[in-house]
Amino acid sequence: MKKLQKLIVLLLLTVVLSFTACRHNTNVANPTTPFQQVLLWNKGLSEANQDLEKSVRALNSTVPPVIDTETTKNILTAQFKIFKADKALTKILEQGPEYSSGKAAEVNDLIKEINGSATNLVNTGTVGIKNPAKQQEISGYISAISGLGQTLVVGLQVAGVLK
Amino acid sequence: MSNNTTAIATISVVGQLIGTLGPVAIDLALKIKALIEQNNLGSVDIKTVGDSTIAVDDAGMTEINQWLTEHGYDKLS
Repeated sequence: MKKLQKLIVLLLLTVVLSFTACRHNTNVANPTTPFQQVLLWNKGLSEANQDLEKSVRALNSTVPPVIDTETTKNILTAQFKIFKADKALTKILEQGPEYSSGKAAEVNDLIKEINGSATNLVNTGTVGIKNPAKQQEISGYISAISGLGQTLVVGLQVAGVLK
Repeated sequence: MSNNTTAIATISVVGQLIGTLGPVAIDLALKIKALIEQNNLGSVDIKTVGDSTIAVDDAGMTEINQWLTEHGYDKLS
């Protein structure tokens, strides 16, 4: 499973680095900036978190449940922290790069919170899931969230918000 | 690196991911591909993207608290 997680992280970093290395764009008048890319990756993280949350609840609602109630509660609790921190982070980022740079310490703390919860999910999120196929499914979502969280750090460094 | 080379490299990596992880990776890969295509369209309105992201975050927190309440747990804040 760790090999698959590494593959996802490698994928996301490859895509980010390919865009930061080659910022040419079909729309020459309005080239996409690294900061704009960060907002897109942040949206991807939030959507992946939502997909995971829906999958976990669905797998808890089966009879018998694929994911037991206690495990579901633990996963959803970690995800709530990610949603909450991401909302606060997004409110800063959507004010623009200059504003975000002025809030660099807070941005850094919020991303640490997101990545801390994501790491917690990586380490414990699938512990209570006995079905191997569903364990892999959930693990895939978790790895994507974790990978995107790390991508945000790289993106914000490239954008000059984080040092 | 041209746009075409970047796109080919991206599709190649995404394809490897799909082959490795199966159905769940397809959904994720399509979402990432959509994000990349939006990126390639040119100017991205960060306020619009930010607001839509916040809407997803709010929906997620609401759904989680609804599940917690239904199963006898306290809501999170």
